[in-house]
Amino acid sequence: MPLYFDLGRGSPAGDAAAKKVIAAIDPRLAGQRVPTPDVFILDPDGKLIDRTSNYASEAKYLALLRKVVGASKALSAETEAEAKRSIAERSWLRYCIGDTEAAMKLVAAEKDSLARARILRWERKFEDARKALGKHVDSFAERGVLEVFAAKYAEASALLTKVGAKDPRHAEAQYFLGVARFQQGKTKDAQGVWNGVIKTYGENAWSYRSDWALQNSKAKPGGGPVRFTTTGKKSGRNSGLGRHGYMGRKNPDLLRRS
Amino acid sequence: MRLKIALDTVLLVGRLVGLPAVLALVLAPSIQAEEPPSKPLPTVPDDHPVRLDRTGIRWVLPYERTQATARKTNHPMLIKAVAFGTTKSGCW
Repeated sequence: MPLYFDLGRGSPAGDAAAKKVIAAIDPRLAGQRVPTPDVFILDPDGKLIDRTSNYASEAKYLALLRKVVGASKALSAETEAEAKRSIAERSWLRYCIGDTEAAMKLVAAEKDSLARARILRWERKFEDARKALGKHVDSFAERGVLEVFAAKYAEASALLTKVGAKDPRHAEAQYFLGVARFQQGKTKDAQGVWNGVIKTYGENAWSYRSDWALQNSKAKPGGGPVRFTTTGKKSGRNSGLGRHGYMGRKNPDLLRRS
Repeated sequence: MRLKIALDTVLLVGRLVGLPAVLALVLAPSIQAEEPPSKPLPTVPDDHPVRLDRTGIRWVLPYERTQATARKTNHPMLIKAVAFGTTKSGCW
């Protein structure tokens, strides 16, 4: 059960009961000028199961969630509702929870090679993923994203530009096309692509990531992070999605890998 | 609630600054990323700043309700606290 609340006094996002529970776990959060709160995972009685920094990497968060879910048979078992989903969805969920073996078993058949390729991609078994995709799976999106993961950006660009506008993964493909262009040193091209995602898709998962990438890409090499502004749209320094800016970690897809 | 995690690099960076994107992934784990909501989810009160969130996280508010649901389903609670002094418009 996810809960969001603000520790600040008088905030409409405040929650006195939540604050009491969290402050009992971390008394530093009871007062004023508190450090950035961790993310807490509690049992239904409010006892701490685990916690991690707000600034933890995606990998750390995933590891934390997998640890919590994996430690509970009830949470990690497939539910009746989940069992009715498609093979691709069921295997993906198994994989996300950390049960790679079960995930791969579900998609062992040839007809499920796209789902299998995706898991192999995340396992960073790129050659195996390419073999799984073979020649008969028509997915420029998956092929292109795979090559981004494998840091083969020229190949990725060539594949991702073939993903049509009506493809359900078009937004994702465009986002990764931007990443590939950025990694090739074509920052202006990349920014154009990301702006295109934002303009086309508005409030969308890939727009969020594009916006993050866009803002981070504006940072000068060796310089500090791009300053964010609270002075409104007239300043010209708002992000593509109108955000003041992005604090915290930089978009990990922009780390130079090649 | 089941901690449904989708690894895909959707990694939503919503308006909740600093919220690691992977937490946003309670999306259905499909090959194609599920479209995040364009309107507030029904689990969020009309006047709560988190109504602006479009990550797809099904927030359960307030804490009493979070805990009651967690007890009923025997699921853990994931508490994301900020200290911004969030305003009604989602700013700080």
